[in-house]
This record gives sequence, structure tokens and C-alpha cells, in this order.
Amino acid sequence: MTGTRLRIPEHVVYREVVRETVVFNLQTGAYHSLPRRAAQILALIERHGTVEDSAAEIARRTGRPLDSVRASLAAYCLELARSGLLQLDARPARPRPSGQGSRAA
Amino acid sequence: MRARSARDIPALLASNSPLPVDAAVLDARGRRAAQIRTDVVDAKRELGVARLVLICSAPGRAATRAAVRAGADALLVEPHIESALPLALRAICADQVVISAPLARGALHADALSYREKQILGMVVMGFSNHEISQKLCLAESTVKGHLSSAFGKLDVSSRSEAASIILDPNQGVGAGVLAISGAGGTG
Repeated sequence: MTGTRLRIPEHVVYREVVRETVVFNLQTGAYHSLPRRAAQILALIERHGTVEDSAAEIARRTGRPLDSVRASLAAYCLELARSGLLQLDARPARPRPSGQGSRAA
Repeated sequence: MRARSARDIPALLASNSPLPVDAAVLDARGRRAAQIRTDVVDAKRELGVARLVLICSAPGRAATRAAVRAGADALLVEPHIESALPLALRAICADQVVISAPLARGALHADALSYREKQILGMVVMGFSNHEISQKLCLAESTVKGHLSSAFGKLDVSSRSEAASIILDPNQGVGAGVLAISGAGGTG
């Protein structure tokens, strides 16, 4: 799913609060409490729109191996999708033109 | 004996009565949900008695729930306090909880928050500004303010922080369940 388009649904709002990320589902009225780092991951997903590009940025920032980051991020995105906090679009993302940076979501 | 606040009670008791107190009557007329909760907790702690009667001026649903959850044993409203008080005292001394009929009906009434009010309150609790909420929900800022004002009235609160407090702390009032939207899927 690394090239799958990811989107934060319109009915989901999130905010980093002290030591956690609070996500509110506007359709159900339910709050979700996620680890603090989730807000940063959601922001990356909003910016890049794919696991591949988001993982590349995390790997670049943290110095961790890309394969490991990609696998962890994909698993986390699936978990978020199962909770209705992330939408997966089966259509593959458009390939980036060579020599250009990450695509905005 | 009459005390102006719960914190004055120990001194009043010490100066007026060496006898143990079975029950106390607290005049909470004009107090809001959060204040009533504090009054009840303070009175019970300061008095060291198990039973407390609150006299209220027709509080809202949130205030009624807050009072009962904080430990009030009876909630009475005007105009029949004098006739109801002796009966309420007897009842609470027999381990009953007494709530006047209008308050009980109000407390049990179905949730009256609208879909939009729930959405807006949910974002308020997270710290979003009216402007941010209006952008997210594609509403005019004045519309957001209108919904918020209506929701505050239904929850018997007067500020964003008070609303957040009673929604986030189930011991204070309604709890986050008040934002649940019926017909929606599971909760998280």
C-alpha cells in the first residue's frame, strides 16, 4: 500500500494536546486518543498523501532505515483506516516527475 | 443555623452546637453546575456528614446531574420547599435520594443537543477557535457563535472552559457521551 493515496477524511479533526493527539470524528461525535506523535504523522500524510513519501520524510528526519519506517507507517495507517480516521484510495498515486520533491496531498 | 458558604460551616458548628450533624441543608439558588458541584463537595468535606439537601433555583440538567454525582442526597426547588424539606430529610436519613419532580424529569429528558451543536462543542473541547470551526464546518462564524450559545444554554454553562470541563470530566457533569451522534457507528 506504499503508493496508495491516503487522505484524512473531511469529518476528522485532530490536534496535539500536551502528551497526546486527540482526534474527533465529526460524524460519530467520538473522541480518539492517540500517541502524541500521531499528529505529526497525520500532518505528514496530509502533506504527502502516500506512505512512500511520508516514510521517506520520516526516514530522512530520523535517520532510520526507509524500509523499516515504511513498514511501520503502513501498519499504522491501516490501523487508522480501520478506525475510520484515514481513507485509503486504491487508485495508485500519480508517479512523481523525476527530479521533483514530494507531491502535496 | 445558617452559613454563608460551606467553608464557614465548621466555625459555625463549633460555636453553636456540640452535637453531631445528621444532615445539612445548603442554599444553592443561583449557582451554576460547576459551582454546585464544588458546593456539595466542600459541604460534605467540611461538615463530615453523609447527607446533604440542596435548595436550588430550577437548575438545568447538567447542574442536577453534577449535584447528584457530587453526592447531594436531595435537590429541592421552590415554591414548596417548606413542606418538602421535612419529608426529604426523613427520606435521606433512610438512605433515599430525593429529587423534586421538575428536576428529575429534566434530568431524564432526552439529550437536546443538535447535530451541529455536538460537532461544534467537540471542536471547542479540543481548543479550536470559532474561526477555525467555521472554516472546517463551512459555516459563518456568527452561525458557530449562535450554535455555541445555544449549546451552552442546554448544558447550563457560561464559557468554553466550563463546557470542556463538564464534557471531559464525567464526575462533573455529562461526560463525552453527550457528543455521541445517534445513528453513527462505533465509538473510539
